[in-house]
Amino acid sequence: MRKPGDIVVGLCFLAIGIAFTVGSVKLKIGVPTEPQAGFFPFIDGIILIALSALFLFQAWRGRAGDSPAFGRVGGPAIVVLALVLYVATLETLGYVITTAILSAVVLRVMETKPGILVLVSLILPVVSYLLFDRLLGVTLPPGLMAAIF
Amino acid sequence: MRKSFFLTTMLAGLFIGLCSAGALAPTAMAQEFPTKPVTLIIPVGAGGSHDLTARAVTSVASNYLGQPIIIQLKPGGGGAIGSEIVAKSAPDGYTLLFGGMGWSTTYPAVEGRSKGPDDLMAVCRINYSPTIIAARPNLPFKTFKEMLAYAKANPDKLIYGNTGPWGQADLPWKMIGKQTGIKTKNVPYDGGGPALLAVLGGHADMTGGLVTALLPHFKSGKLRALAVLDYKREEKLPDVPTAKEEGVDVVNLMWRSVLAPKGTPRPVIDKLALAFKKMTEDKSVVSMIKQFGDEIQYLGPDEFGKLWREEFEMQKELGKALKK
Amino acid sequence: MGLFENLANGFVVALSASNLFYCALGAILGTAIGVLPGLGPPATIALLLPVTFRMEPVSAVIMLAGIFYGAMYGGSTTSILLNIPGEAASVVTCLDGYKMARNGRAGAALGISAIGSFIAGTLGVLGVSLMAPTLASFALKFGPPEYCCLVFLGLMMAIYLSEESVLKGLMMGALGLLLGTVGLDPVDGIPRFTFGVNRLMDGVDFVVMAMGLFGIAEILCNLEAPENREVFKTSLKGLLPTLEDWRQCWASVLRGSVLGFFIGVLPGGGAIISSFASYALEKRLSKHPERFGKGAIEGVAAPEAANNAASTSSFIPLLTLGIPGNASIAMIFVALMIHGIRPGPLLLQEHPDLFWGVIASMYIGNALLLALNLPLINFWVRMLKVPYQYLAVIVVVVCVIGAYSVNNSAWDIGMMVFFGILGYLLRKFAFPASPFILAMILGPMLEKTLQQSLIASGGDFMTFLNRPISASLLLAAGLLMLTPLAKSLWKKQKG
Repeated sequence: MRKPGDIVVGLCFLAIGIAFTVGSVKLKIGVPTEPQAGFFPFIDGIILIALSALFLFQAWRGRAGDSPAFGRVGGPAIVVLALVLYVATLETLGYVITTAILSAVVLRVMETKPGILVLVSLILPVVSYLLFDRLLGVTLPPGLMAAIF
Repeated sequence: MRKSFFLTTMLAGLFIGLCSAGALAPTAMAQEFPTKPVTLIIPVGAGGSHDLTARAVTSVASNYLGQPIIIQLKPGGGGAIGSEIVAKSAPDGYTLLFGGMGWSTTYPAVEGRSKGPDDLMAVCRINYSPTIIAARPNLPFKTFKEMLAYAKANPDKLIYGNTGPWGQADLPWKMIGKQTGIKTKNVPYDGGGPALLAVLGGHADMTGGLVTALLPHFKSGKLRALAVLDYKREEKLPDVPTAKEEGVDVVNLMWRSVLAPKGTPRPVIDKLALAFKKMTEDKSVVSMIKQFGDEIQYLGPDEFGKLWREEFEMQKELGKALKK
Repeated sequence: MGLFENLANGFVVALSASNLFYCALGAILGTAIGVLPGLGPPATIALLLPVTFRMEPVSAVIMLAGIFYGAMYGGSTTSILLNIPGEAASVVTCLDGYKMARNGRAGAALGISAIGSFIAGTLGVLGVSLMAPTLASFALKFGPPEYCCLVFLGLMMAIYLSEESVLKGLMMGALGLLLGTVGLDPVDGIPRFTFGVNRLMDGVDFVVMAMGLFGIAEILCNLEAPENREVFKTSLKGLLPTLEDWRQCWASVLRGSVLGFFIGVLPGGGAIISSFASYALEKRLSKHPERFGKGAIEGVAAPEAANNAASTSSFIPLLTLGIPGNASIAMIFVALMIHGIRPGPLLLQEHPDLFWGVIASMYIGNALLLALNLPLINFWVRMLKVPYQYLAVIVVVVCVIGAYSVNNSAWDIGMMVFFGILGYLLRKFAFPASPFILAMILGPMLEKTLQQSLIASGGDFMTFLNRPISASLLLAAGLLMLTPLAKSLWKKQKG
């Protein structure tokens, strides 16, 4: 059975292979006695292009093998979005505030009861901050909290 | 009428006040500096010679500076990330960089990345280690001069293991090659340890390294020291000549220094430099540095700044010449 | 009889009350940081270095060494329980360990890894005390061509492991090698594929990548639909491996120990390659290779034994040649230097107390670690009974902190999220992640050694075949790749 998903994946691999090969030609490949920066990625890129072509051929004939189906992607998408926002605001807002928001989102997606959700997302950031920053010597960004204390 | 006069006087007063405040500010600042802990950013990983030296020296900071110095590790990009953070931060003396030759001279000079003397200014040098050229003992030469003659007679035969592109071993070897015209295979290894291992195992013929790492192997006879790339001989290797003595004008000193963002007021720099001078003279610091196998070679902001600038310009030329 | 005398003296040193205390302290600290991903042993040892300034050198090394191999024990815990490899050498443990935990056999997996590690560690120390100098000269025989072929063999093994399809494994391997080239090139130091981003110069940190590909991806998969989320089966029965388990895997533990011990002597990727190699070996020797990847106990026992034996033997280059084989050992090297002791060929003559004291402390440390880890199993297994949403949120927070602490920057959290999404998609299309991650770690080594070999030999590819060690490694890689092919041909003929 031919799966369009597999063909898309094969094309992605092919595109990556081509991009790296073109990039390494720009970097100069050199010769075996004097390999340049593009030498190794060039060989790799060619190999990946060949393998992706083979994979595409198999996928076209419907022999690329089984893969699990996508479930509802809403949950993962929300958490990924929350993580991206987390990265963007961590340094300014500080660890405790952003982590509280992130925890709340993860727990919400997992359908936790509101009461417990609030409790956990308040306790977890503070406890982990004290444990890692104060006890284990990891410097976490204080952000807004620095202004208060 | 009266109202406008009043307003003018007030504005004028404000103007004068601001001016005098502005004029007074630097001295007032230097007298007060530092009112809070100073951050010293180390742009490379934990446990290296830079990290250790910085920690040893700053361990007594509050005794001489009146405030502690907090060490922050910001590794990445071979030192470029930390350098850029410091170059961009406020020039008030509260954010300093622990400088090293790689990220403060070579990368900006040769590759135009990281930050050099155009974006940072010197506070002081703490110390340095010269590169030492070492070879396997069972090669048909015993001295630096004989090695050069051998390499001239047998081009592309000797295998030199360097410790990474533009590092402590690669850069001076390229300079030696350029000056003497010898041709060798210059093989990159992933740091001093692997390069040393390759020479000990006979997979490479020569390497360049620091005395702390090479000394035990010189003593056990597994390696032979050919030349010291310093202006003077190395204390622990009194019989080994400098390259200059052997007629090759190459000096490579891996220094460790304190740098500040460009535009830091002179009084602040002086205050910091003086504090660092006193720290490096502290007995406990001196003994710690000695145990690393190094010594203190303090150099003030002007002398070191000049040295750094010269080195930078020289490597810029070299980079242009080598990049073909 | 000099050896026993020396070793006895070593035990006298190591068994002094203060050294015993430091050994235990190191082992406990090591276990703790092994369990928390992100806080790797090198970072912890660096943090503790100033403390060791005021300690006796023997005590300092005993404590730091304890942290190092304690972390090796602890690192497998998160792999088994949460599918997060704490360090590169426990990537393989995830494959079958996590599956075992899901089948309700977390206790057995943790038990076999603790006891297997103990056996391997003890055998390793025995090996170190018997033949450290001989092994050092073995390590010296490995030049660039040998390393290059060894790394190549390691990669082929990772691909061989991916049971799904060899083609998919090869594609992931090639992709990993390509992404591994992002950063500074090893010969000229030119930035490649970094798009001017300084953060990309050093490539991607392993911990960040592993937490994304394994930990975060696992959570994203489980977030899809709460109702069909897979739950851990946790019967309290079977906390320890059964007799049947032992019958299945005692030989694997021994084979893993021997393999790990010898590969671990080589500085660089010793521990990682040895864990993959022993897994591949077990799969190859097994009568039921199809069980691997679905919770086979040999698949946990062998690599765990291998990486512990390797971490023990990785002290050999340090103690005999003065060359640290990995980042943690480099920290121990620094600790010795601070005390004015230069590890190297003269260490054994100049400081026999230190040499044999450290070795004796390793025997004791291994025993301590076993005593510490067995009772902890009960605690870990209970932890799996925590409702999944709390476990998930804790994993997310720990991963975020771990990623941040690598360079003290939010950038690495972003990279982790990127690899999390990638890992999620890979699972959805049934592409194996382990060849990818190994290729990304070993890719730079492969490239460096390939170029070193070529530059040194004047561009002659025959250098790989002219040397006996590299030629036999290549031959092994070839045979390994041919087996699946031969098998499928065999099947076709039969069916």
